[in-house]
Amino acid sequence: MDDLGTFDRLSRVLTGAESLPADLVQGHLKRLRGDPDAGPQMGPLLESFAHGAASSGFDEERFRREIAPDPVLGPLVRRIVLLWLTGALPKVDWVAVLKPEQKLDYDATDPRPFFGGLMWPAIGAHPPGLSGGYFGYWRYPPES
Amino acid sequence: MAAESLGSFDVVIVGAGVIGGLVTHELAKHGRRVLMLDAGAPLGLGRDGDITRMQLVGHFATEDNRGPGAPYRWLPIHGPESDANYTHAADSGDHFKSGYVLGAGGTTWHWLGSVPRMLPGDFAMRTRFGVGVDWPIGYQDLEPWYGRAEEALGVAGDHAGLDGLHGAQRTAPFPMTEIWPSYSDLVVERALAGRSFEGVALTVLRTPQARNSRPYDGRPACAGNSICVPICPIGAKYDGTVHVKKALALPQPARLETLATVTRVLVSESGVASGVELLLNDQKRTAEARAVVLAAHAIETPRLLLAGGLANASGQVGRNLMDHTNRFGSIIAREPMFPFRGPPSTSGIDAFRDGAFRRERAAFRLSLGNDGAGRNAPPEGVAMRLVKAGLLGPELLSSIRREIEPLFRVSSSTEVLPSAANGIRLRAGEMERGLPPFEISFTVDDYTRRGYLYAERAMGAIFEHVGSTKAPDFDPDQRNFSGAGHIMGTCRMGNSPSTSVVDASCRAHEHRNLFVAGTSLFPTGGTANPTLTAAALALRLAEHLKGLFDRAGSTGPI
Repeated sequence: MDDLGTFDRLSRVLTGAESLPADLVQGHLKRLRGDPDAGPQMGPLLESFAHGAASSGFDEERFRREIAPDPVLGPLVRRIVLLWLTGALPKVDWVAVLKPEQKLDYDATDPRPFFGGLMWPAIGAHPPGLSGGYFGYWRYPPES
Repeated sequence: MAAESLGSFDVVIVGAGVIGGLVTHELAKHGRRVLMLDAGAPLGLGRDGDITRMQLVGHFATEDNRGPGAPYRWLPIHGPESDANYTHAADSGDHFKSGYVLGAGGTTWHWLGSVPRMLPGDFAMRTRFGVGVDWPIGYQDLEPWYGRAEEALGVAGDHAGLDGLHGAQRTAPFPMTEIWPSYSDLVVERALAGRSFEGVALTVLRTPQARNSRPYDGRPACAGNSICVPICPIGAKYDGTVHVKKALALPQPARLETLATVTRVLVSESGVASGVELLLNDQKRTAEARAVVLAAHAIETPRLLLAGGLANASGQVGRNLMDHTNRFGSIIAREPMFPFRGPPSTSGIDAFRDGAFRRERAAFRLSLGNDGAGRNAPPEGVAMRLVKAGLLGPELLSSIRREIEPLFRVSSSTEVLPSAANGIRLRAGEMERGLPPFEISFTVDDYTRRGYLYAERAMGAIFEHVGSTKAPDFDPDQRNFSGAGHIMGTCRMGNSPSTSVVDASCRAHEHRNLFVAGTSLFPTGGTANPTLTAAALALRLAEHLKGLFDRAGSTGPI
């Protein structure tokens, strides 16, 4: 499996999403590789995940449980997950201190990561600005 | 060398927002030659080279800070966004927190679109309650114009539900039926059925909105994109470009110049306006006119008058600055409320907008929110917190849902009385686009504070009936408030030239052909979002101007 395929699978395991749009898989991998914090570690992470996921005993839930507290890979996967959820990377050392004014850093050149944020369908809503809905849909509970 | 003239016009209108657009369109339709000048960029007008709506939406999506200015702050000229962009005077007890947009379409680019009418009591505060001042006109004088403004903007509302609200009779139905309530509106309605707070029934009403509930005026119905503030991606929400575009599309169109800051109204020694001086793309120009209408919103209009020493025998130009002070409370409800779907607010409680209590404390309007815990608590923060806690995978997604779906807020928007101490003044400093810099003094008094603290108690009662899993979240700092974006009062209308800037027909007391339009006219602020009232006054002014021109000769000042 190439890096894109590996990153796609890794992202699905980390976020719980059943499928992910190919253009965002490509875009997010590129952004992470260019990120000063995540960039240097993406190669080793993808290599290690590809190896582990190929093994017969690979269990997604156990993988998530083990990687979350890892002192090196934990922070990295959290950046990956936030990027998928919101379309942005956190700007400062947000894991240490989460302040109200903490900002997310959006790609200034591409609106697709924002509109593709996974947190919106997760809450039964839509990305702000892109409802895909009909007049009055908000009167009813979400379909899922 | 004399500055080149843009030409001679019947009317020069300063400001191409909703108010400038409405007045321009009415006059140009009537055959008058109108020049509209706006300091900002040509936004969303659909002509070659204009900045498009989609470009602005794209900027919204890529901004780190998604406040009201998000689509606009990349523009070379865009207007202040919040108190951080103003200079406050040393005597300013609070900060003035509301901004405005420079550019064709103006501040309605990022307004929510709620359009309640002011109430009869709002126009007669001094007579009825012994506070504030009286307007020179009453609700009944403005009522027919409210109907026309609702038609012009395209307002969706519940006529039966609002007819007679605190004495505000409606003589015409809304042009469109109401924007549907949200799921959470209906939860709250059920919870509040038959309930009161201190003898006042907690009746939930559909908020009248300049937002299409069906295709109207060539614009689509609302599709619930939920980003009304700061921009409607599809134009279902009215914004000022509608009438600016209509004016430009007439068989005898108005003329619009953007990136054009008016630096002086030209006035003869006898006080008659002859036109304006402006900077157009940084080049000095003039434009001659038989009448000048200032519609540059309630900060820039007085700024221009102060810069020229005009219309100010009363000393009231720039004074009596008002806003509505907003506060809110939020809860985690006992059941899902499904926020972030539909417009940010579709219903409200108007029960506290009028009453004898206004002798002692400010009135307020309550809005039910469809935006979780409100603008101060973006849902991305919930996602960050849960990711930080180490959640991943399906458990993370379901936890985000579980945390966000019961979030609910109610906001209060409280009246501020006019005070001569609140206002803008020119100050020393570097000129900005050819205009002198200014500072703001704004201090909220105990009348308003008592009002919004009472509102908090009413909100507490509402939350109790709706039911929450823990105590509601209110701002513990009782001095704190956010701006509503409702800048009013700085060129107020009145019968007496010694206490007001313009008369009941919006004409400057001292300059027979200089007029002011917009929210700067308001002697009091009431509790209604001000745009509909300003639009009604604008259409009334346009009618008045048409009559003046019809009766005047074919040249010379009216």
